[in-house]
Amino acid sequence: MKNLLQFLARYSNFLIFLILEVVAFILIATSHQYQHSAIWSSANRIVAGLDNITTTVGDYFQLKKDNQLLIEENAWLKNQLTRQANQLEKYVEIDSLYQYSHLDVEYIPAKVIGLTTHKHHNYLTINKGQRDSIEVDMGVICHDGVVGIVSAVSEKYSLVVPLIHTEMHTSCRLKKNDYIGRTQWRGIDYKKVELKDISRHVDVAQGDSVVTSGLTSVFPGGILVGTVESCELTDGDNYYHITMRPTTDYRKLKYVQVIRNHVTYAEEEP
Amino acid sequence: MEKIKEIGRLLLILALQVLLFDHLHISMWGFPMVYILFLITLPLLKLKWVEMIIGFAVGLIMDIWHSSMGVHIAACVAIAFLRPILLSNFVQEIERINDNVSGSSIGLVEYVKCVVILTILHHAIVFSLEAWDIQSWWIVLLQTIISSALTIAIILSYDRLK
Repeated sequence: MKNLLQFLARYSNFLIFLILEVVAFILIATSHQYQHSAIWSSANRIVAGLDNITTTVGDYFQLKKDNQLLIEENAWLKNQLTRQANQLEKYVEIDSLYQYSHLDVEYIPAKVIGLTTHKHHNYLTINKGQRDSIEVDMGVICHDGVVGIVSAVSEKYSLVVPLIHTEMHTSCRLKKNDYIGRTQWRGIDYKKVELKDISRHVDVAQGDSVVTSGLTSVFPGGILVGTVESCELTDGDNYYHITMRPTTDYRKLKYVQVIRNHVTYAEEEP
Repeated sequence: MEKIKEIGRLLLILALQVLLFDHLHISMWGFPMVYILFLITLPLLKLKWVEMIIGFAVGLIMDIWHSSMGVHIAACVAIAFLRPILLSNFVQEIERINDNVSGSSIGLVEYVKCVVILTILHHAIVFSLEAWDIQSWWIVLLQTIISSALTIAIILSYDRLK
């Protein structure tokens, strides 16, 4: 017993070091889950509040106002379109599932206040949260195409996992022939995302459009994800190695729209 | 009084990190993390575990900011643990120094050695834990080299300008 205590006293610093490192690794392991806690991320009120101020400083006074008006108008127009589609549905027979999943969707405009593109796990923070009826797992798009999925929500802010996050996968399909694949990002270049699970018999060419599949309730079908930049097929491979360029330019991302789907058609992807 | 001054310094350095240096990165390779300046220049404490707790707290703040729970904590605790060991190896009669650790208080050569080793270690831990992937080791290596060079340049030029 005496020996043990002496041992502990002698190496107490090293033991504390080990304990703190173990705590850090436990935190890392738990944070690699898909969903984040809002308090321990940049969706936190204080962090997001400060980020909000710094982005506001960067905005030109007039430009900001104009952009805000435009995005609001855009969202309103999209809501109008959905309403029209709803009305049309009563008269027109539905012949496609993709079309069906477009219904009962609402777009909530939001501003990007925090954004990284240089890490393996990139995130963006937006200035809408619980009180704007945003929930975890909602899809986020922008004018050009898909942005990501909401992963944590606080009172006023939310954390979004974009396509350029190594653990993010989105179901998508080739626009011209409807083959389903999924996205995968390997880090480094935010302008290069891989498209997986396209088998070798499929006809793929450079410049093909890739859109959301509409198989999940996160994104309606037919929203642009990217365009095929290169596709390779080595002997013995069953699947293509496809690189695509996301239509969303993350560096320039300023305003986004969160998709609120009022009806769930299918089980959500993890 | 001494403590209040240190807390003020910490807040200033953290503010500079998140408001300025976080936006200064060069593509995805150069990402200076100058906030470790606080942990490197902290006066030597009698109780070494207090230093590690401070490292833990600073890491936690950075982690919340970057939504990367645990990564900065692991790196900061590691350099807080290693700093006293390094200093007692480089500098004789380390107990004499009550001031902040700096080029003038412990000698420029020793300070440069200390800064280089701690910065590279910290950056290597941060980038490899962030990647969490053996396959991307060369990305981690490049990120570490370029970012460390930037951070070391900024920390040493601060020491000279002071």
